[in-house]
Amino acid sequence: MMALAEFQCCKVSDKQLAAFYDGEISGWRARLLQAHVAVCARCQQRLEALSRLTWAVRSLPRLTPSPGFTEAVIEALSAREPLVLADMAGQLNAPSGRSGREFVEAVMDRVRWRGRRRTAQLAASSAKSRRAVAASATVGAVAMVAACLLLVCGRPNLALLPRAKAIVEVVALAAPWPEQIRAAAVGLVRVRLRGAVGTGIDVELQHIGLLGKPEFRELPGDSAGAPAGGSGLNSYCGKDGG
Amino acid sequence: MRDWLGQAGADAGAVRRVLAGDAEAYAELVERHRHWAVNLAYHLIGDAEEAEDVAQEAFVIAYSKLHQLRSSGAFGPWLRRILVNLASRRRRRLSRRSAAEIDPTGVGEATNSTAVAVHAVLRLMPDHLAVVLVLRELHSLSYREIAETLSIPVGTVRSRLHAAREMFRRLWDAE
Repeated sequence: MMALAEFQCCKVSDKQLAAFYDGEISGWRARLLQAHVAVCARCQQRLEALSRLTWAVRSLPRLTPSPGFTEAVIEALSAREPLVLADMAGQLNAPSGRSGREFVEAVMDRVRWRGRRRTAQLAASSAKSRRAVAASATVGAVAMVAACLLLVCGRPNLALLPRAKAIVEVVALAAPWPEQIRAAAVGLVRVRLRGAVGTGIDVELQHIGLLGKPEFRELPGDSAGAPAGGSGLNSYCGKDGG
Repeated sequence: MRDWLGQAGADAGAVRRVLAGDAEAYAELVERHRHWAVNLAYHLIGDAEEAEDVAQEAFVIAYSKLHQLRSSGAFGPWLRRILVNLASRRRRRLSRRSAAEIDPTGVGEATNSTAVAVHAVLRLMPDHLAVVLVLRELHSLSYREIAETLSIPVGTVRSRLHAAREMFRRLWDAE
């Protein structure tokens, strides 16, 4: 009864009543409104006005589409596909049994042509991707070798160790690089370290976390002290025929 | 007038066949939806010949974008959205013509003075109000369906419908 009071004294808004009229209200609210409308003259007048409006608008006639409506749609579709369906209008004038089949065949020709074109586009894009990957790998390898050369040519000091570590870490990640380039890069780093730090190269390798790496397997003579930087470099740089 | 649920299954099968390359299946969709499409365009535009033209264009556009249809059973509501947009544009273009140039009588239909008057009133109304009034009163769409067609909230549908009815009543009484 408290809910019914909400609808007494015609507190029903125009939008509420319109929603009730349009069947958008259901359940207990619809039942309450129904009960209210039954006793409210104002709501009855408003519903009557809505009904008259609906009657007026619905006086508009219903059209029957022209007999050639569907054919006109198909013709319009063919006009948008001139390459394959250029003679569709003529085919539509043919006996109905033929025109349907030819229409389907023409559309399928168009679909197959698009399929072949798409396959060619995908192949071209795949080859382009492979070339891009190969180019970036080559650039990376060249940059790596250049970094190693800088390391070799730089002045020997302990600051080489972090640089050496960084280079070797990168080399370890460069799995797709040719093996010769990786080995050469590691070799250059090793020689430079030996020349820079003198004795106890294993201690330094351990310090920068490289001792366990396969690229830095202990070579004969490493723990006994390293020769002067020059001869190690010379042996790698080919000055003594190595 | 509408039986979306019953048609949805038949539409879904036809749409799948069209997408699989059976173009004749599209003629089936056109046959099934042409009546309400032509009438909706006619009620929005007010000219019978323009209405057929707009309805045909809507079917052509729907065919070219059929691959974008998310649910194959929702062809009808989707076509309705396309048609309403096209009809609104055509309606704006036609509003620049004089009333004498527009033929509100249907193809083969007898002259209906009430229909002429209703069209005249609808032409005076702004697009956004005329559309909701036609969709509700003439095509019995629910508020939710109107909201989905026009991509507006249900509350906005309620407000616009109220405003449209008020304006129609005012203009109708003044006619």
